[in-house]
Amino acid sequence: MRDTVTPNNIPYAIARYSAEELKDALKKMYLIRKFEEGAEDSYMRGLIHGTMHLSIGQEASAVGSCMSLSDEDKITSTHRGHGHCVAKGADLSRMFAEFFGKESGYCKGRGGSMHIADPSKGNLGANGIVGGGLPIAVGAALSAKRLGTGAVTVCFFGDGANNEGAFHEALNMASVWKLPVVFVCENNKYGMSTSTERSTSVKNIADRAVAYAMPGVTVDGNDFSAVTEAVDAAVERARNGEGPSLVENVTYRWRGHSKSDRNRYRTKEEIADWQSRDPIAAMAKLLTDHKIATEDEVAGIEADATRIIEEAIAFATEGANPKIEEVTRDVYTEETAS
Amino acid sequence: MPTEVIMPKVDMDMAKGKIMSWHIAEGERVSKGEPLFDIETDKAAMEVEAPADGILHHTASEGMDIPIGTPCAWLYAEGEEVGEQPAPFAGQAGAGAAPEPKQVEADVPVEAELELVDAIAGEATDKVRATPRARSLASGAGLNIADLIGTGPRGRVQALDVETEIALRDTRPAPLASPLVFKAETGSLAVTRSKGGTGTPIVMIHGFASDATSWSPMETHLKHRPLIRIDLPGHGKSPKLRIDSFADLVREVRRAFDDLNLDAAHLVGHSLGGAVSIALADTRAKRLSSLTLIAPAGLGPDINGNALSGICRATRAESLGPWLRSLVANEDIVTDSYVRLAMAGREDTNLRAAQSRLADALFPDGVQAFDLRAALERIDTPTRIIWGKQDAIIPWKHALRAPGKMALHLFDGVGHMPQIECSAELGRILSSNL
Ligand SMILES: Cc1ncc(C[n+]2csc(CCOP(=O)(O)OP(=O)(O)O)c2C)c(N)n1
Ligand SMILES: [Mg+2]
Repeated sequence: MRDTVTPNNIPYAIARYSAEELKDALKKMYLIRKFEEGAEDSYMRGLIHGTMHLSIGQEASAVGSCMSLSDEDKITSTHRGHGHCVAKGADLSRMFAEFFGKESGYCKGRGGSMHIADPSKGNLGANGIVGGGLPIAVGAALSAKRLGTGAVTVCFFGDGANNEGAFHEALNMASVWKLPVVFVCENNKYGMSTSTERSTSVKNIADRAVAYAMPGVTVDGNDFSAVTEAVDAAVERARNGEGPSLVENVTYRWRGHSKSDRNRYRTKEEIADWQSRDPIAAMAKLLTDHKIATEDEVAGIEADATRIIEEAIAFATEGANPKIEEVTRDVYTEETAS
Repeated sequence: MPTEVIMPKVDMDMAKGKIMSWHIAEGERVSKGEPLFDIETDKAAMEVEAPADGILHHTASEGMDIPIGTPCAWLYAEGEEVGEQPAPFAGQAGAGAAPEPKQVEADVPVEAELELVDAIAGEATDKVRATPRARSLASGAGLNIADLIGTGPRGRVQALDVETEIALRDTRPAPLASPLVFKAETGSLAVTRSKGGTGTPIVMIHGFASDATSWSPMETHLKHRPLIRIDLPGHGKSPKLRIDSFADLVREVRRAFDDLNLDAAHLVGHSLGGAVSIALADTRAKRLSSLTLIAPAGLGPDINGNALSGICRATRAESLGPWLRSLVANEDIVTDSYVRLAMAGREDTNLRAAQSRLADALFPDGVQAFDLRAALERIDTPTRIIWGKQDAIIPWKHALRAPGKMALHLFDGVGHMPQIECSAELGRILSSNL
């Protein structure tokens, strides 16, 4: 793994980002955690349809990987994508409204957890297809290169996706055409109940990069600074026209694959061990250790996040339900092709 | 204000869940995140963790169906006054007040809404799915349709289920009335403890390819004591642990026994469970008040390997039946419906595979690969051995190898399952001593 400390012993993120940016990053991590806790509670109460995948425990990977991106830069996300949405600046009220199936939601209540996209923020969307975001990211990077927009695409995917054909095709093509894309693998050790040890021939997923002649690096995905250092370097490389990179954030999902998961394939000790490496607590400590924020400020940031989530849930609860008469609206275009 | 414990939605199309067991008793304390209760849905069984710290009160009873998102218990803070149950259970028969419909309004799939309406309407029998013929059969036989297990689509009770129950009722030595309520313990093996009873508890270990429910004919005779039933690894609700030897098996059961933290216990084991009991008595003498061995394994090399592997292999009632009949002296008590029910409990292919593996490790080539005679000699705990003289699985003459300090009860006209075949007599022997 990479060294996350700069020569004068200051962690990369602290040296690179302003206090405001860092506090904002911490706030986003809290927002992700509390958004998902709220969504989990609502789901268990039967207020949310379909299924839902929580990324609690993976917040540093989502937020850290988006630090150097602007709204012009793109991301593609996954079935476990709430954190990516929040990191890329999504409106939490509209996210909740979408979960509750309300007209005020991102997809007017038609899509749910796995279909949130926000092109205005450069978020090209979650994806219910494992590995589905990889070809899209390569397409977005190709268009950026052809149009000369200078935009970079960060492509999130899981360890499960790394054994799919789409992954290998995407990395190969991005490398052949030197496209401005950063492949960020969130290796949370399991694809559903199958561990990476059982599914993957290489020790580190980043080792796959060699096959496609691009840099590959594995970092502690629960260490915000380590994530930013690796992804920022890859984004920089992409912006400079040097082509794609692969970054592997090793992390862990605290919750089951979905709410129906009975956790039969991993031990309580393993879960507890990772919970003791909470990325949010680590980030708060990073900021207080380096006098970026006081403990009171951290508590204030957390309280702020709690309030925002409560307001978002209230907004979503009050929102109008879709009307049955309008079920085909937005499905078929009214214009006839000419 | 107490914290509501709700029936969580854990499946995409789940409208309600059944309370299977509470991990702690009412009035006991639980911490947030600790396992609190087990539920069963149409698709799976699942453990639910406590939503908060608190003291448990007003729990929905085991077996009750509770609509998702509605309370099934409440957690109170230390010192908080516990009054009336804050609200009736939404699934409760004849629940006076309707649960707040707002909780599920509009966002619940139509089906779930209908179920909820049913539940609110309150007629207990109305929310049970059953065919009209099943209902008329049940009422004719004086059975409550809600007590029956439905094997039809989505748990619908069918005529066959009622007929099975009637047949079973007629063969069951003990009446169905007031079955004992058991609650699950946490730990590495599935352990259930009865709610009633006082004094020294009775710990029961079932035999190979059986499970805790096999004790039910005995339970009525022993219910004056707390009853604790251990499911062996790979049996009943216990995990399918990898067991390579008798020592492995004993280690797991001993751990479960130690987790119970009992100062004293009466230990009862049948067949393979009897062998495990001998090994436990050998190492936990101080904690045992008595030992009862029913047709125990471990006292000689012979065992009916064909029957063991036949039971393990059977995937249908037709192939299971003949082997089950070989367990008892009077084949008539193993009715077709009994066999169907037994097969239903063995439907899990992984369970059958785990038992085959276990049989192969413990009884290779149909031979008992472990010998507990030396251990039995060492045991000073008061011990009685019970055997049926028509036992076709393990020869009753193994009993004669026991040391003279142990009591022998040999039953004529009884096979390998005295606890079922002559449960009343066994009950009398045990209850006058335990
Ligand atoms: C192409 C495809 N195959 C299978 C699935 C079913 N599925 C959904 S999530 C998942 C596991 C994905 O694992 P991973 O990529 O590691 O992501 P994680 O869930 O761990 O975040 C699978 C197999 C799917 N949605 N799409
Ligand atoms: Mg994964």
